[in-house]
This record gives sequence, C-alpha cells and structure tokens, in this order.
Amino acid sequence: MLANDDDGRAPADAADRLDFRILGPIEVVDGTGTPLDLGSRKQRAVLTLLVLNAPHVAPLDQLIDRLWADEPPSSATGTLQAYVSQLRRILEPRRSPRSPARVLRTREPGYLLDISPDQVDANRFARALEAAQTALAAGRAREAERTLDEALATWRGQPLADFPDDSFAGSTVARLTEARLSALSVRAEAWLTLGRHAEAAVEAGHLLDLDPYREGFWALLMRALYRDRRQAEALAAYQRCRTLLSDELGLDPSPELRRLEQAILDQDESLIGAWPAVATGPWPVPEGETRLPARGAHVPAAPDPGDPAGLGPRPGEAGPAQAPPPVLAEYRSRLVGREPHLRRIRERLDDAVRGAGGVLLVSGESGIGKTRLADAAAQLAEEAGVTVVWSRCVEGSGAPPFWPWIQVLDALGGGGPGGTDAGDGGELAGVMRRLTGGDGAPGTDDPDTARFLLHDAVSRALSRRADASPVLLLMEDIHWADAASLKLLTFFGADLHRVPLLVLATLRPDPAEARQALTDALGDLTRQRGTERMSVTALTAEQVADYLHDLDPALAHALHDRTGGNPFFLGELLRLLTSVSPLHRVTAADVASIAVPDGVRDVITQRVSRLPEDTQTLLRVAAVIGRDVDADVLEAAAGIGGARMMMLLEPAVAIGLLTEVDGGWDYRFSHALVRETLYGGLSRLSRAQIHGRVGEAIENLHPGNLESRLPVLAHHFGMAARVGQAAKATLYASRAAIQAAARLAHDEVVMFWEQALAALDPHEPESAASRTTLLIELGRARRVTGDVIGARVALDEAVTLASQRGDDAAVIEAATVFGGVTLWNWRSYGVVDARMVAVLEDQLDRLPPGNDSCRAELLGTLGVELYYGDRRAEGQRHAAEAVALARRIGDHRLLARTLNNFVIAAWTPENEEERYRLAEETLTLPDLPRAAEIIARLHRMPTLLRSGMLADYDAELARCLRLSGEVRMPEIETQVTYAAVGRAMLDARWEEAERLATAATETYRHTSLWGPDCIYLICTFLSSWAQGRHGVHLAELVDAAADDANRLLRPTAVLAAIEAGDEPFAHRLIDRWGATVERDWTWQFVAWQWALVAARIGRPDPHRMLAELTPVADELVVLGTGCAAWGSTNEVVARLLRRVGRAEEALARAERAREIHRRLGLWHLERRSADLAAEIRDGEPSPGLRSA
Amino acid sequence: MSSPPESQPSGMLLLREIPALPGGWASAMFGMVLAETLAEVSVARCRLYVLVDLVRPAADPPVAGALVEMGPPAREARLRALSVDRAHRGRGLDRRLLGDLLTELRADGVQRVRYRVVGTDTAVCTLLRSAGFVLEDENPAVTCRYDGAAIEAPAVAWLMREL
Repeated sequence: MLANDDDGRAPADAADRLDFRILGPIEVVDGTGTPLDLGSRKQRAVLTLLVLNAPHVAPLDQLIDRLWADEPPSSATGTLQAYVSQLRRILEPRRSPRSPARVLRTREPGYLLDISPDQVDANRFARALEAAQTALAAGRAREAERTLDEALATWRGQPLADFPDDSFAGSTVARLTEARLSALSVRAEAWLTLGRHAEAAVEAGHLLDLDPYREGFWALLMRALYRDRRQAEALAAYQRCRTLLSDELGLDPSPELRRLEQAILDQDESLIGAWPAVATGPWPVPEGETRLPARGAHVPAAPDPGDPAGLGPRPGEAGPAQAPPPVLAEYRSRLVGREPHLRRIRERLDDAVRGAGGVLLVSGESGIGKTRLADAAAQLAEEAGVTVVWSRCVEGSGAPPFWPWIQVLDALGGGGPGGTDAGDGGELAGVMRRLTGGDGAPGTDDPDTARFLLHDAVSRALSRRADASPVLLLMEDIHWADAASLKLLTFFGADLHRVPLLVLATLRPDPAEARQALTDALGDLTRQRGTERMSVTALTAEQVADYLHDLDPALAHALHDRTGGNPFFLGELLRLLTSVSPLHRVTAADVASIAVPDGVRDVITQRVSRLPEDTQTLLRVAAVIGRDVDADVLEAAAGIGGARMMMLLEPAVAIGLLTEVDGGWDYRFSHALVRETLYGGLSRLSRAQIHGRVGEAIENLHPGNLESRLPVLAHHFGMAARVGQAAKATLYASRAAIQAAARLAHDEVVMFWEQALAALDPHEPESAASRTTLLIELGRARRVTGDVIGARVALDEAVTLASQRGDDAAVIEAATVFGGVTLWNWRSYGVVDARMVAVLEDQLDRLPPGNDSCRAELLGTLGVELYYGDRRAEGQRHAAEAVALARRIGDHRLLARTLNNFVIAAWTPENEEERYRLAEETLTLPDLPRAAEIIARLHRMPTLLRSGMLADYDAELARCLRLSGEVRMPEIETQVTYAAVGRAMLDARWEEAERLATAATETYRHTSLWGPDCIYLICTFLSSWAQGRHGVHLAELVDAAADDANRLLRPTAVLAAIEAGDEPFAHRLIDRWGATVERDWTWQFVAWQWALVAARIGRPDPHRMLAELTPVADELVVLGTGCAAWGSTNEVVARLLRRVGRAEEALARAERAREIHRRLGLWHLERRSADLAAEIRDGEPSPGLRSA
Repeated sequence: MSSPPESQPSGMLLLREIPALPGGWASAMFGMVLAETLAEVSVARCRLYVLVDLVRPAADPPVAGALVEMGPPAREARLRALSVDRAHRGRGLDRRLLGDLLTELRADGVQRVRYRVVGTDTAVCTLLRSAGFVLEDENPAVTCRYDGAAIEAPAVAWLMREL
C-alpha cells in the first residue's frame, strides 16, 4: 500500500517536485518539466526498483540480489552505493554534499524514495481508474470517459519499457498492463452508456486482440453489438468465444455469459441498461512458472531448522545440546515488550474463532524474537481452544517444494495411512499425496490449470478442516520458502477472511535471499483483506530491565547499551555472563568489560564482510574513534573528503550497523557490540597506528582549542604510545590530570597520571626524572582519593628514584606529600613507617640553612609520621616548630598545612584545647581551599560535641555536609557522614545511625585508609546495645579485635561478652589482651568502654578508671570526629563509684548525668541516667557485684 | 574467553585522491607517464588516486596508485596508468585499486572508462579484461604509405568498460 499524501510532509519547492514516470521507459521530470538524465541502464534499474517500492524501503540486499546476483556482495554493495550517490546528485542537484538527502534517503535496511504516491504516474493512473469506476457506477459516464482519456494519455508505451526482460519488472508490468485493460474496458462501458455503441464494439474487439480469453471482453463485445442493432454479430461472437474456450482450454463459457446469450436471443429489456458484471479480470491462471514435485519424489524427514532466532527452546521441545542454566532459562521464558503484538494476535485469534481468519506477517531482524512471539501466539491459541500447527521453511534448497505445507498437512493428520476413510483425514491425506507428487492432478495436462486445481484442492481441504475447529498455522521464516509454497500461501490467503484459520508467518525484513517470488507474494498478500503486517523491534532499556525482573537499572542500562536491545545479543551476552557468575552477582561493570560473545561476533563479522572493502576500512577507523563517531575526525583521520566518506558509510547505515545522529552529520554504532567487534578484529599494531591518526586528526581539527578534548587526546595518544606517540601521550594525560584536578574529579586525576606514567617512553633520555615527577603527582592524587596504600607505593618508588639520582628536592617533595592537609592520619592504627621517618630525618639533616619552608614541611610531616610510636611527644614538638616556622615566614598556605600537621600529630587528650584553637585559627586563613576548610571544621567539631554544644555542632555539620558535596573526596564524605552518625546516636535515631554508618562505610571502602570495618562494628554494636539487643556482634568483635591494628575494639568486645552473659569469656579476653588505654585520639572512648567493663566485672581496676575519667566527667563521650557518641561521662563515673562502694558520690554523678541529658534533650540517655540513679538510691548492688 | 583473532589480511586500505602534481609520491610512482600526461592535458583534468594503508605510518608512500584523465567527452574517463609499489606486489592490490577506482568514478557520474593499450603492458590488460574491460573495436594495424614505402604503424587498441 502506498502511504497517504497528507502525512505532514512539508510542501516541496515547486522546482524540487519531481515526477516519476514508469508508464513507458522510466523517466523523471523536474518541476520545470525538464526530463533528467538518469544515467546508465543499471543506474536506471536501481531507480526503478526504488520507485516500485516507494515510499517504502527497498532493502539493500534485495537490490543487490535483483541487479548483481552473480557478483560478491561486497563489491556489489560498493557499485550500488556509487549509483545511489550519483542518483542523489541527479535528483537533488542543489543539495550540498553535507546536508542530508531528502528524496533518496538511506534507511535501514536499505534505501527509499521519500516521495508522495502522487509523484508516480502509475499511482495517479490507478487513482484515476478508481475515480472513473465510481463515476460510471453513479451514472456519470461523461466524467468517467474524460478522466480515463486523460489518464490513458499518460501512457508512453510499454510500462518499464527499458527493462522488458528483467524479472523484477515482470509482476509490475503485468499489473499495470492489467490496469490499462481495465481502464479501456471501463471507458468502453462508458461509451455504451453514452450511446456510442459502435465505438464500444470496436474497442471490445481491440481488447480481445490483446487477451482473447477474457469473458468480460466477450460480454462487452456482445452487448455493444446488440445495442448497435447487430444481433447476429452478437450471437456469432458468443459462438466464437465458446469455440475458443472449448478448443483451447476444454472449458465451457461461464453461466453469466450463457445467460447473456440467452438474453440476446430473448431480446431481454435488461440489455438496454447496465448488465450484471461479468468478471473482466483474467482467467484464474496467474502467470509464471510452476514447480510441481516430480512424481514419486522422496519426502525427507523434517530438517532441523535449529533455533536461529528464538531465545530458547519452545515448550515441549528438547533444547539444543546444552540446556541453559536454570536462572537464565527462567529469564528466557518471559516475553517482554511485546504486549501490543500479543494484544493484536489475541484479537485476530478471536476473529478467526468467529470465522474470519487471515494472514499475519511478523517481520523483524534476526534475533529480534519472532519465534518467541510465535511461541506466545501458540500458547494464546491453545488457551482459546484453537488447534496449533507449526511449520518451518529451511534455508537453501535442501527441502522439497511445498515443504511448509507438507508439514502442515502432516500435522493435521494428512500423513496417516488414511485415504480409505471418508473423513477429513482422508481428504487431507489426498492433497498431501498430490503435494508430495504421490498422485498426479486429475483431468488435465495444462500446468497452469493443474496448479490452480492443486491450490484449490489444498485450500478446500484446509478450509474444511478449519470449519470443524479453528486452526492457527505458524509458518516460520517464509523468506526461505520456495516459490510454490509462497504462491499457495497467496492463493489460500485470498479466501481466509471467511475461514476460521489464521496464518502467522515470520520473516526477516532484509533477507539476503529475498527473491522475486517473495516480494511478489508479499505484495499480493498485502493487498488481500485479512492480511496484516507487524514488525518486531529491539527492546528499550526499560524493557530490558523488565526482562530481567527489574534486577538493577544500572545493569539493565549497561546491557541495553551493549546490545542495542537485540534479544539475541542480549541472550548471548547473558549466557556468557552467567557462565562466569550467577546473574544476581553480575554488575554493570561486568557487562561493560566482558568480551564480545563468539556468536554475536560471528554474526557481526559476517554482516561487515558484505560491505565494500573501503567501507570496512572506514568502519574500523570509526570503531577506534568510539561508539559515537565524529565525522570530522573520521574524515581527517582517514584523509578522504566528506562526500566520499558519506558515500562509503552509507551501506553500513543501510544495513543497520551505523546510525546517523539526528540533525547532525555524525554517526553512532547501532550496538556497542558492533564497535567492539570491529575494534577487537584489529591487531594491536593496527590499533595503535589508527589511534595515533585519530589523535592527530583531533589535534589538527581544533588547534588552540584542545582544552575540552584533553581526555580524548590522552586516550588516543596513550593507545599509540608505542608507535612513536609517547611524548604526546604523556603530555596530554598530564594536562588532562591537571584539568581534572581543577574540576575536583579526583578519580580521573589518578587515572590520567597513571596513563601518563604508562605512556612514558623508558628510552627517553630524561625518563627517570619525568617518571619521578609523575609518580609524585600520582601519589598526591591517590592520597586525595584516600588511596593511601596506592599513594605510598608511588611515593616510595619516587623517593627511591630521586635518591638514586641524588635529587633531594624530589625526595623532599615525595616524602612530604603525606604531610599535606588531611583529615586523618594516613597510617594504619598504631603503625610507624621507619623508612619514611629515616628519609625525612636524613633530608632534615642535610637541608642547607635558610630553606625554612622546606624545613617546616619536613618537620610537620615527620611530626605526623611519629604519632603512633614512642616518639609521639617528639613528633608533637616537631609539628609545633613547623607551625612556628610557617608563622615566621608568613606563608598562609604553609601555615594551614603545618597547623593541620600539628592537629594530627598532637591528637591526645591533653591537647584538646590547643587543637581546637589551632583548627579555629586555620579557618581564619585567607584563600583556604574547601577541603581544608571542611577538615578544620571537622577537627573542631568533636570538642563542640564533647562539651554538649549540640546546636553549634548541628550548624557545623550542616555546613560540612553542604561543602563535602562540592569537594567530592570519599575520605571527607565519609568523615562528614560519620559525624552525622554520632549525632543520630545521641538522639536515639538508631535506624538512621545504622543507615548512615553503612553509607559512610561504603564510601570509606573506596579509600584504602585504615578502619572502615572497625568503625562500622563500633557503630552497630552501640546501636544494638542501646536497644537491648545483646550478643549479636560478639563473634565479629572478638574476631576483629584479635588484630593488633584493631585493638581499640578490645574493650567493646569484652563488654559484648559480658552483655551476652559470658563473664568467664570476658575475663579470658582480658587475660589475653590486657586492658591498656592509649593516650591517643581513641583515649576517651576506649577509657569509657573499659570503665563500663570495670563497673561490671571489676577489671580493669575501677579505681584506675575513676582516676582516668573523673577529670573529664562532664564531657559527652565522642570517638574520633564523631563516628560514635554517647552521653555524659558522669554516668560511667557513677557506675564506677558504685562499684567501689561510694554510693552517695555515685548518686550525685548519676543525677548530674541525668541533669545534663535532660538539659540537652537526650531523652533516652536521660532515662538511662534516671534508672541508674533510682537503682543507686534503692541500694541495688551493681550488676557485677550482684552476680559475684 | 579466548582473545579474538588478530587478522585483517587486506590491511586497512583506503582509496584517496591526491593532487596530480609532479614531485613527491606522484613522480616516484608515475614518473614519465605523469609528465607526459601533464604535457598533453591540463592538470585540472588529471586525477591521481592512491591506495593508502592506514596501519602504516602516515609518512609512508601509498601502496598503489592510478592516474586518470577525465573527459571530454563528458562522462568518460581515460585510465592512464596503474601502479603497485614494488614492496606490495603479489597481494592482489591492483585488483583492489581498480575496483575502488571504478566505484569512485561511477559515483562521480562517469559512464565509460577507456584504456589505451600499449604493446607491452600485458599484465594491465589481463587485469582490465578480468574486470570487464573489452577491446573497443578490433582495429587491425593500419598500413600507411609514405612516399611509396610501406610502414607498419603500431596497432592502437583501446580497452573499454561501461560503468
């Protein structure tokens, strides 16, 4: 069918409006009436095929098959493309090469002429014929005559006269010739009405000259002669007709013609008016050859067509050799994104049950899921009580003629030994024997008649069978069907609208095998009522997510992106992924990193190999550029002109490997898998060379404006580093790193420095120096992301390299990276790096006098390095000296740095006040970077919390949360979240506390800093403990605390043992671990925990704990920067006092704790303190004493 | 998963047009023929197509090239010479070059390509014939008479292909 004209197409410039004429030799006339020079014969053939298909796509493979059947596809595609390019120039002479074509467009799977039906003379003719018939029926004979005169005048000779012998033109020529005969006979009919009987009689004679077997023309002649008062001639005409039919075909004239003869004999009055129509159509013998099977032909067993398109075995059928893994099988059993199709299929099945069947053509590319849809249709049919019959066409010539129909008849019972009984089975078996050549067609030797009788017999047998109970006939892959089967389908299809039988036939839209027979059959079928086409397209990202049970949107997107939504590709990819790990463990990153599955690669490779070789070359360059292909870059990298590049890429667009990016002149690979397959097919050396060319192309295209392209340049030159592009690779990677740092994209900074290092050419004269510099930058960048371990590896190497070269400046730079402004000590809990301490001391010793800023940096760094060892006090002094030096120099950057060093180096209980003061001083410094500001605030905040200044704490926390979003460093993000955890604990918002702790632990894991597990255990333990859930974390705590690096967990583990009711175990743990309290940043928390233990079981010595904690009794308990917080220390002091029998003092402390908690609005803590006070007042012994 | 096979037997070849000016690659490849052609027709009507291998360094010479003279008459082109770099012979590059060239000319609207056969270049003739070129018309050697003496003029033959 041709589309309507009113589809919103912008009215074309009159001069651009082309007229395509095929009623004669093909001709195209432009808006001024000038015929265009259409070039060579092959070129005109291409155009003709496009006109015949317009406005639909003529698939590329079909065009090639029609015109270059004997050439290899790759060269034929190139030739075709050349013609298409040339035709574009002819049809749109004023189009610039870079603007998209508007008339001859490329659209998967081929090319199309985007014209309205009215622009083709044959369509105008058909429309005129229809209008004339309507006019004549309404009695407007004069109008009908005029319309037809005009229309017939547009004929310039035989239609498509330039291609008389070409098979592609055959059916069109036949149809057009037929339309012309109709027009002539309608016009003659109009003359009769107008009383011009003699003229009508002459015309009828002419028509019979053209086709003597049409009874309609004979009837016309007889009526015209009779009306012209030539009765005898009219009757003689009848006799001529009878003789002709009898002699040549062995047939009698039809009843209608016999009635006409009788009417003439009777001089019936009805002959004066219009006469009931005698079919003017051709005798029911279509043109073309017949393929009847040879007599006695052997019917082979059903060939196994495999399962080329579906996603798995259909129900009740054994799968291929290996069954898919169960999870996958479950996913495969679902059908997603096909709801509209199924709805329509259900409607058509309902219609069929009611007696109105038809043909449903389901088209879709290979692997798109046509078979799956057919499966679902079968299921629907079975539910509706419809008999389901499958048949499949096979590729190649391995199957006998009528193979799909033989399968159908066989399944319906025609294959039985029958033929003896009179039932359906007998009739079906009968036609089956005729199809397989077992029986000849009775009564005729004329092949055309024989075929008609055969088709009719099969149709009648099937119709009768369906009348008994409705049938769904699933015919797969009809693009491979033999011509005879297709003709039978067409014949049968014409009747189906009144038979309860629905045919669902699947086919590919661009079958490489598409033959004339298929195109004709499809054309004929589509014109029949009851035929409907539906296409099955790729899944959307949402449908992929649905397909996977909403597994994970990120995963679904990754899968969609790589497969373009093609269910076959998707299935293959899933098969591969799930062979490695179960689907629920597959991540988006796995999807992105897995190699292209072999099956998919083979399919793509095969499609690519059909393209012209230059196109293949260009596609490989495009694959190196990326999924999105900047056409300017491609043009420059390949060194060819834009017009030629477009021409070469067209076939790739036509077969759907590439898509044109809307509105632009760029391209995109349709599936990521296509790009990867092409890229993967390149050798390492080729890749490197092409990357180099692409990099240079980008450089040359944007001189002086490379800033936004640094990452891309770093990538391409990086890949080309080993083919002479090392210097550029390092240069661009370094620039990209600096740029990323300015944009706070810290992970990218690391990546680019790593790239720069990887690209460095070791044979360069200055490579050791460059390497040192890059290693220091990499160390710095890793430190920022919190990857202290990675940083240390890089910096250690930098120190070694610089020491070997005697480059003290570089040694100092590398060694002091860790002394930069940071929130947290970079060493694991309790660790001192002796080598780094030695390096720093050595450099301090050798530092010439006068270099004070360097000295300040070294001292500050050394101060922090000494924190976890015996020399902590010395380190504190070094840090203090560093601050003093920085003050003297007056460099506020240096001051910020050294103040930060001091705050970390002096993190002991006695220095609380000074640390607070110095953190505050940091905040007054000018030009303080965001990160440094947050760090200083976070260092100040625990003091606020400890003193119960909750409102100030909350305000600071809010500011830090806001700032951390701008800074995007995982380390800082983590600590800010921790600060919120402690605050939530105070409010007894346990769920939130745990949620935040989990979130903080997650971000913390992105770093390699000490402690995520340790802190998480403390948070969850406290939350459970507060809610009275005991014993839940005991095993984990004991396990983790066994490690020296986690020794701050030890009192908590002991407390957990006590709470779990296992005091002997608590004692054993203390025996094993001791009960030391370090005077480091953990002091208050650890002392509190041990004090709780001491109050319960008398160990460690409660008096010692009293001495530790009484001085800070009014403070709230806080760990680190607030990852855990509890109430007033008075409470634990009260418990200790009770333990040692000082009940009155204990009560006073408990009351004081209660008062503090009440004042701060910490209700759960207030209640605990109140309970404690009540217990003391009531003289209840402390729990530990009670059990003792 | 096994790594994909790394092979592209035909390399990464691409046809390019470069200015048909003496010097550089053009002269190295076509030397005398180029000079002769430029002496006969204006440079505007000369086209030089080369087959480059994108996998080779950008400064490397092309692996093959063809010199073409465009009309008149319009829509006709004359193939002047074909050449494959000595180091790359035996890889079928002549066929590849010719295929690319014909496609390119066809896309340009050229409908007929001719080649003048010079007695010695049988290799080119074999190639062209296998690509569908045919002898334009069997033109027997013309005998000319100058001052009575018979001189056998060299046979002039044209191979031609419609596009």
